[in-house]
Amino acid sequence: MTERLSYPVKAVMGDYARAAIGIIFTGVPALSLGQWTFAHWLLVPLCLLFLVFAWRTRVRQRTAIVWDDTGLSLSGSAQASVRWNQVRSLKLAFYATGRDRTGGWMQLTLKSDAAKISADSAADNFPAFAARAALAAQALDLPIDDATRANFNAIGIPFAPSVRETAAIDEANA
Amino acid sequence: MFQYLIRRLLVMVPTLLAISAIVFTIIQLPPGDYLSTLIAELQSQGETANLERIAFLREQYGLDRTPVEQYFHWLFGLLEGDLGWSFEYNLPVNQVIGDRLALSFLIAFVTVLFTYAVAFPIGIYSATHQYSWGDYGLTLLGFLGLATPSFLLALVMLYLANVWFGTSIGGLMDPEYIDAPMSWGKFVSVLEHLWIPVLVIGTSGTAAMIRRLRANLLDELQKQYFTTAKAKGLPPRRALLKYPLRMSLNPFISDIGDLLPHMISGAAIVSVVMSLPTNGPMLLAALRSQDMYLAGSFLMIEAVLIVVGVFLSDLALAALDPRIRLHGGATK
Repeated sequence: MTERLSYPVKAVMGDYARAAIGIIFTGVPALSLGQWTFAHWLLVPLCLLFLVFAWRTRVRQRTAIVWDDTGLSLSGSAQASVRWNQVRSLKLAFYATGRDRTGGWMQLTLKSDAAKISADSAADNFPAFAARAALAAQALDLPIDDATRANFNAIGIPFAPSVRETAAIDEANA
Repeated sequence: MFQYLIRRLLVMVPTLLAISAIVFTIIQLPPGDYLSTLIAELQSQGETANLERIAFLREQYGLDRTPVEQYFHWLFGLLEGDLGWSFEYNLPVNQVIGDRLALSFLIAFVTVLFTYAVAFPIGIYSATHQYSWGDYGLTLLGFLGLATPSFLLALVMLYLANVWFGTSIGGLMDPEYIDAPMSWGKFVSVLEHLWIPVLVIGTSGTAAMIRRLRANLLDELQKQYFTTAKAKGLPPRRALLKYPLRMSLNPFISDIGDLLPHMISGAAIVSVVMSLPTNGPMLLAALRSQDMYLAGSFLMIEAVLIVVGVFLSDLALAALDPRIRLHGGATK
């Protein structure tokens, strides 16, 4: 069965707004200062960074991840495809918006030898995608770091110790 | 991570704008300005001020404008790298603080290295040898370091350095090198003097770090995963360095935000006692005399460093331990 993950407009509006604010706050002073000054060394790279962010947000909005039992692929602005059995690493990171880490978003990154595919929790159907990625990682016995394991558990996807880790423990035991 | 970086960068902009407004307001809060303080000082000494000249200076420095106009003038100047004019030194602020910034940074950087180099081995030893004679001895030393006032230690160290090593009292170099261009002799002289302020300023920080590292590490060492790792036969040193030590370092990464401003302003009182040519004493003098652009520039530099420090520590924490707190939720 084929499933699809994409970013609705509502999910990326915040990022467009951030990019616009960043470009205005850095680009306008950089243009209005006239001759090249000390501030340009700071403002121009920052403005470029916000432009790249706007471009990436656009690409993200126009890209969807489609997956079935054999693999996943990107369609739209970016193109890539990975078979589940080619996944080499999986990471689920949590980025906090406050210092107490009680609010924020998650980002899932899958890597194969040829491609890297990321999705964040703002996307539609993210839980299903995360669950399928976790299944693939467990089937392939990929090494998973503690933070990823804890984050999967926090979103209700149980992640038991891998076969490799269990074997390592048994080996040490023996 | 890129999205996180952008969000954090965006938070910095309104934060810095708000801080700049608060800094400027606080500097403006005392009644009068630098020139009225100067007139009052002259009058207290029985001298008369040339009122026409004062009026000219007030216009020249923009002190006759409204505070809002003065604020925006200062803010746009900052963006152009112009920190304003120091009334007291009669020089651009950039020139006044240039050398002092470099020396403050040097002292603070070496102090941070000293603190880490001493605190980490002792903290790890104390935690792994809890309630041993070594732990008790080092804990006593730590408490002594915490309890000794820095200015008192500074006076003692100045005396001892002079009596034992013949180092000239006060300053960061021998008197003949002050205002001289950089040379090998000047560099050696700075090194000869540097260890005293580093030791004085670093002592309390080192003691505090030893206590915190010991406490954090003890917490981790008592957790089940460490007991399990040891029971499974993992070599003790590897088990210690790979897991509990890493976890106990997170609070120190959060502290990077505090480290950077200390590099610039830290230990003002010690600097006064030891006559160090750093920023602390100059900031105090500027605040007392209402040298507003000089004081404002120092405070703004510190604010920028705090904001940048917090930004760097947040990025480091996000990279090292991107883990959700279980009582929260992942939303966007």
